[in-house]
Amino acid sequence: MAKWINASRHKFTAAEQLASLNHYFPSGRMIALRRDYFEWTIQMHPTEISQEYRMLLRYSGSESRPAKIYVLEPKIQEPKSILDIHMFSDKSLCLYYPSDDASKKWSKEKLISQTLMPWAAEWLFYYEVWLATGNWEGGGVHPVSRNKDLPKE
Amino acid sequence: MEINTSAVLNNIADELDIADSLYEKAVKSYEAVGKWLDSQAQRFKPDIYPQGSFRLGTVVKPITENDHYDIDLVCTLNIASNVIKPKDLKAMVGNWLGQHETYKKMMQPEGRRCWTLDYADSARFHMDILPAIPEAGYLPFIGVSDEWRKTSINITDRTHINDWLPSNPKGYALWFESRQASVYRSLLEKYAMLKNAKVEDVPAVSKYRIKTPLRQAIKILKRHRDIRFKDKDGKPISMILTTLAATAYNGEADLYQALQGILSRMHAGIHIDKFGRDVIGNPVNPTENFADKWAESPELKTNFYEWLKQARQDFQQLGLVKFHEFPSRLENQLGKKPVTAAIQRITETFKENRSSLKVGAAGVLGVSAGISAPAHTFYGEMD
Repeated sequence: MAKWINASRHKFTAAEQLASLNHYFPSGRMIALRRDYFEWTIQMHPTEISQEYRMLLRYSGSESRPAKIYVLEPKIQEPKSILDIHMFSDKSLCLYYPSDDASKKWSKEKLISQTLMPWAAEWLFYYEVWLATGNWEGGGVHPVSRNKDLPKE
Repeated sequence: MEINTSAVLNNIADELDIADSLYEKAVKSYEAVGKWLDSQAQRFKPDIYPQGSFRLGTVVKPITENDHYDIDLVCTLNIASNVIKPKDLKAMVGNWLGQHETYKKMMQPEGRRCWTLDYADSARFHMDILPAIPEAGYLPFIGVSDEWRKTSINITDRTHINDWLPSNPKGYALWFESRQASVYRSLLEKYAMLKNAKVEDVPAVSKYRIKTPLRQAIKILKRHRDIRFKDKDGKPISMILTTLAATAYNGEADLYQALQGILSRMHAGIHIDKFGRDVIGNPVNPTENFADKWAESPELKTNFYEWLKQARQDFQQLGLVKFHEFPSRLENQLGKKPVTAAIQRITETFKENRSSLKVGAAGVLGVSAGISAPAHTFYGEMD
């Protein structure tokens, strides 16, 4: 992987993001591509003995939150509050904390394939542990206004 | 760290095992008893060692939290069988225990073959001490190798108080080890490397703890049996499960394969003698039949075969079970606690190795080559 990516302030275009995704996840499929917009699906499973998940990545460069990842299949079991399993109200996965420093977040200067995708795989693992044990073991932060006392793990 | 069926089973078996701290306590306790008896029996050159599950490495937690562990200790004195009577040997060992200020308070009424010490405090052990003398070679141990022959002993039994009863716990342990020799050897070497020690310097009590597939499989089967016979009589005895499992085991290095292999072949260790009786022979003592009670109590035989049938149903298709389904799939068979705790152990290990995590092209975590996942924090917002 070329080292220039981390050093520069280059913002990756939709096409560049897609190219990188297809390189690292060759089984992924683009299902829509427009200017500054694409949709891409992939089958993933976090462990050798996990069920298969069909994921959707929707990239829309003009939105405030450009990259969103959803689990299309199977249907995600939801706790009373989906914040407990770190999902947004639109059911996209919440994979980074806006107030963290840059190294722990995604932004257009970073490749989705190197950040959001592995984080999504990790989310799937913790989701399965949650299904198995009832506990979210992946740590994380809940919005301050709702749950002041939850510490960052 | 690969998360697969065997990894889940190994973590479950680890959860079923006696906790490290309790194991150390048990070892300290029986070594102390051994030291005491050794000091009293000096002139008889005593040979004191554990037998049963603590020796074989197959200890399982009792199903009820507060139930006790059984520790079996052999105390062999070098006396000829024509020089002492069985009941006198038994009494002599009992007297020594009774002369110890603490042990005399822990002594239970005389057992059939053993003296029992009840460690009633937090330790929760029942220690059976078995007095014995060497067996001088009167018995025709046809087909038993010399190495196992020479460890045989004579023990006493209150129901036959004037007779010596042959037994061979050391030989059995050696036989058991021979059944898992190559896999055990490589795990022992790994363990020694981890501890920066030479293989020959690894203490025996640590060797008994090395978690081989055979030992792990037996723990799972014993727990499965304990749960099925929780409030019922006539459960298949551990000697039968252990002997059949070790006989059926074929050196598999993978725990899931070992368990499948054992379950598919276990029944073949049961033979019928010329009188039509079921025989599960002690491999190092052909005069001993672990299934001898089946003739007079046929429900014991039925119970065994029903248990085996159920175990096969429960474990042979485990490879099809999804990671998140393990607790629901196995909670009735092995208990909810150990299975859930096993998942938690796997998660802890995953977290410990997080910084070196690599993700593969299908999202599989923990592959040897893949994308490194930078540190991040999960969040969530109603937007």
